[in-house]
Amino acid sequence: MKFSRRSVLMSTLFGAGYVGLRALATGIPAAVLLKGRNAFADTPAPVCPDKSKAQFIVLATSGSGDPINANVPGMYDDANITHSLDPSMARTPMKLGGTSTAAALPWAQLPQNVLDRTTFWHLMTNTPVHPKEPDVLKLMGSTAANEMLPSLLAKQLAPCLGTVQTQPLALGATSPSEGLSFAGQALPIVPPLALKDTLTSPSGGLANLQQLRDQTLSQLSDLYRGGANAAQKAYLDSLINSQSEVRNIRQDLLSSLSSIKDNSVASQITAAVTLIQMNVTPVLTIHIPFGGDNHTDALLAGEAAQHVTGVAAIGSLMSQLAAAGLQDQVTFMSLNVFGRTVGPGNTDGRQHNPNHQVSIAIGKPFKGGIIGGVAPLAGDYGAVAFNSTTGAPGAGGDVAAGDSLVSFGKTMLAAVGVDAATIDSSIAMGKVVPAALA
Amino acid sequence: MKPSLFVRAATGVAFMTVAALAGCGNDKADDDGAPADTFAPDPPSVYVAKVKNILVGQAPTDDEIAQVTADPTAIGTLIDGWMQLPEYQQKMMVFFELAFQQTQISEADFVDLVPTNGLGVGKGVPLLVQNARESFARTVLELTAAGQPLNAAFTTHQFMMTPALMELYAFMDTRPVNDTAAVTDTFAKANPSMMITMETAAGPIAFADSINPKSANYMHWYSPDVAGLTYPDPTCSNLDPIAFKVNAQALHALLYGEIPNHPGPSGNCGNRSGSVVTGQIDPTDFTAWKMVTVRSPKAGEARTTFYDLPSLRTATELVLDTPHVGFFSTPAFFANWPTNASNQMRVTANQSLIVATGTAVDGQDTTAPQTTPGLDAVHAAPGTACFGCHQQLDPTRSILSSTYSWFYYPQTDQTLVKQPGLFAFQDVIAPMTTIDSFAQLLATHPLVGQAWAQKLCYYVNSAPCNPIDPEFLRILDVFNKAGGTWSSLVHELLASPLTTNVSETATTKTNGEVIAVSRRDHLCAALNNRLGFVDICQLDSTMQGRAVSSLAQIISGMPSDGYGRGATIPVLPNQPTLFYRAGLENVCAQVSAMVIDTKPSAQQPGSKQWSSAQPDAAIADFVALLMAMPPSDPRAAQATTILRSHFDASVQAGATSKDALASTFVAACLSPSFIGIGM
Repeated sequence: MKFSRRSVLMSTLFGAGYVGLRALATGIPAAVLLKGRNAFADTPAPVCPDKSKAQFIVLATSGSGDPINANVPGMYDDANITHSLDPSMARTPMKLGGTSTAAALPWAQLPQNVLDRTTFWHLMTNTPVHPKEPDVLKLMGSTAANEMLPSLLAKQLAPCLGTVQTQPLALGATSPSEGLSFAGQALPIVPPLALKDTLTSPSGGLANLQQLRDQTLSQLSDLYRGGANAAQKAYLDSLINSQSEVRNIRQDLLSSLSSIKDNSVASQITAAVTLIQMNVTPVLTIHIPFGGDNHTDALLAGEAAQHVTGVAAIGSLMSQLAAAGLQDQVTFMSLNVFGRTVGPGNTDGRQHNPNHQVSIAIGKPFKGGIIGGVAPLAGDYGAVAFNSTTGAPGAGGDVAAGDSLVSFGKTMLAAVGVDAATIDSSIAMGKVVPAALA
Repeated sequence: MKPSLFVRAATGVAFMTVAALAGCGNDKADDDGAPADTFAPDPPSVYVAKVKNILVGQAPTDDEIAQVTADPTAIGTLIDGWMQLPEYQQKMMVFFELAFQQTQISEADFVDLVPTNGLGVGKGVPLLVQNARESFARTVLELTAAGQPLNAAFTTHQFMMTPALMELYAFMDTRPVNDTAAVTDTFAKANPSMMITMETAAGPIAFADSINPKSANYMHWYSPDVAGLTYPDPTCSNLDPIAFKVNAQALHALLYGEIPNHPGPSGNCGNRSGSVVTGQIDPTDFTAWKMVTVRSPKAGEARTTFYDLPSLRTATELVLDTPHVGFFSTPAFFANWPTNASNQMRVTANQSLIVATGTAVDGQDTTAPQTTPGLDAVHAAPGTACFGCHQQLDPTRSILSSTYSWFYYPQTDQTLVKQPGLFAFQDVIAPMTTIDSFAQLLATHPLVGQAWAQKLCYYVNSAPCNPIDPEFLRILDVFNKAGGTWSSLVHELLASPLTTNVSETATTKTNGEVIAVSRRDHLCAALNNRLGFVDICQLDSTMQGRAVSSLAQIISGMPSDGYGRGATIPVLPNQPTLFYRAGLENVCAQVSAMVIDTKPSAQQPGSKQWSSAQPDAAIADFVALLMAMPPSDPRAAQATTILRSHFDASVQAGATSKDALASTFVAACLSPSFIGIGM
């Protein structure tokens, strides 16, 4: 086994991903990359920009690059675009924001009151590779401090919503690639099955001693602090903070988690709604399959089946929110690593499409409609420029396809009340798209 | 174009800049008034505890701390001793599973690999998957124990296997799948008229008879479940015997307890998982590990018969058409990284490079081969933006597509077979003729040493080492001079100030010290090894007959080490989040119920036990074992006083002495030094 100083240096400079290099690349001090929010101790905590517009967010994200983009409104005007021929995916007329359009049957079956606040975004993520999922969530390097969009949202929303914790929570990540980071720190993935047993306070005799135990832990913390260095003190601070957060967990709503028997999409939704009711975190991520990485999918059967279940899951989320009286306080969003090819020949599977991905935003801040569209590009189809005032696609649009992803991010921040200055300092380039906002 | 000296020099400057930036960012007084960026060395009581916890999950003793206090170099001797303990093997096994990317798989991940039903639904299948996850880590341990260098694991044809895992290798080899997903079931092809029968009422059939072609019971299998099966279609219910046309997948599945699809009077009767006892495979077939050599058949030699379990139990060879070499061709690695007609082995090649060299094809590598055999010219023609990556990735992956189909069976497309490509990655350009060439090039790549030192840095410190830190380079030098033996690297890094923080290094200057939560694997090892439990977290599915405990459910949500596709560094959640803190409190509470005023359970016969009638003895243990503060630790006396006060106050508040001691245990269990690495 041989190595040389040169090889060490080369790896350092070219892509080994070490913190020093990441610091160079991102402009973030290495200490920030390593210490996360502790290193931001000097940064003033965000204040609530506009409480009246604040929303909880449920974000569906997939590193598989599911073919959502193939079957949504805006994809049925070009006869060369391939769709599943399964009757469950039949082209079906529907109305979005008073405008007639068409989509695969499952989308048209969403209740009209949901469709009236559903915006379909035709974007390009500009990557065809799965490992870029975290980068897409970071809007491909366009966010300040390389923060992920869900974390940007969480930071702004937490003070408005008074949530127990500021960080978002990944409930449905199927791999670490779909996990979240916050201020440079990787966050754990907490599957629905673990939630109830995790959050339920100890019962019996131990419950009565909790306050006393917290005092003891405080004394122990002081003991460690005596000889601690700065990093150890920061860790002790984090422990105290997390203990304080734990004590703010509402125990009366945890019974809702008892129905969870697996980590399925339905369970993720149950968990998300419950955690919102418990005011635990402003942003939760889930994973709803819409066909997955369907390179090989005879007659697009898998895509069809998962569209039926996927849209039904969104419908279920909406009805559960309505039943809980939360329909005006929670926004659903989706953002995947990329979309898939849709042109002729994609009858038994689809390939990665860096030029077209469709995101969905559903909630009170949005009006029904389609933002952007597609046109033939690079042997398949890609998102095109669109007009930010009308959402209409076309060459004269003021939002280029290359800016569509960041503009989506900016608009999501605007939708939940973040002010223009903060939006511009959080996301470089792009613009807020008024056409999407109610 | 090769990087210039200027670029290299800039690298060094860059790190100084980063260090300066980091320093500016932290150049503030902390809440006690001390400058936050002033280096403060850790005392032996802290770093001996850290090192021993990392290596064996145990707390230090007074004697160990005294040795290091008297002579700081004694830490090296202690490390050597700890590396001889079985607990070290357990910890390294978890490390190697992750580092060689053999984990993060489940039964579902084998469906692509074994289309279309995967491994089946038998109750034994999860155990088989666990065998697959563990196999390569065990292989590395075996090789390193035999004095082999780490990179011997890249080229090995020997793998630690159980009889069950041998069956899987041989089964897959019996049933190759080509690029178009067409399955060739060679067993069925050789026995076109054969039917497989399963029955209950006719009584047990000896396994030897079931697999003996000369027996009247050949391919007749006993299962106590057959007679009792019920279906929505009543004509399928209670059929006994059942019979179905021969196919290797069904035969494989029934070995693990499945009742496969079979015809009924009015149509197909679907498969059933069966009960635990219906498996033809023995429980010991999942636990009897041995080194097995995988080789190709000699002329005229038959391949290994997958269902002949008695032979597999004694065999030390597998004769297979499918080549298996090193870490990147195990069923676990293949299941982890499925490829397809579009990806065409790029993921397999890239993940192999990441494992071996810690570096990915990312468009930054300036290695430019003169020729690019295997290049996807349609997608990445010279001059296009895609060419930068594909000029390395496509020639390099070609040896994989030349060897394997998109489903990881022997490649049958002669166009691909004849295109072995060219290795072109990070300054190494070399021809390849076989999959062994690829393995050899990975093993000898100049980035291997630092890649594995970095993996260990992440494991030990939850952060990278500065790659131009002189101390890091010194460790690499020792590793190199020791012939690349893993134990030399572990010894050097764990004894180094990079781990112990006894003196300031360029790494701490650049990145600071990282104190991380005790993530799942460290936490569970500490609970097991300090409190006498056996797999308290239920991470080992080969330990059968256990209901999933609430503790195990919580553990499933605990932060754990992971790797993402294409990522060169592990995903390491380091912060004590709300969920970590809440979950851990419940874990500690549940453990307290197993160790305070109770008797060891049948499942945990060796667990520690404490009596609330003797709180002082218990508390002394809590401080020493859980908080890792032996009596000589300057904090131990005060910690003992605090916990004793808690016990007394609890009793005074009306708690029973049992609850009081349980609460005291929970407090110790939640102490910063038990749930944090480096406290």
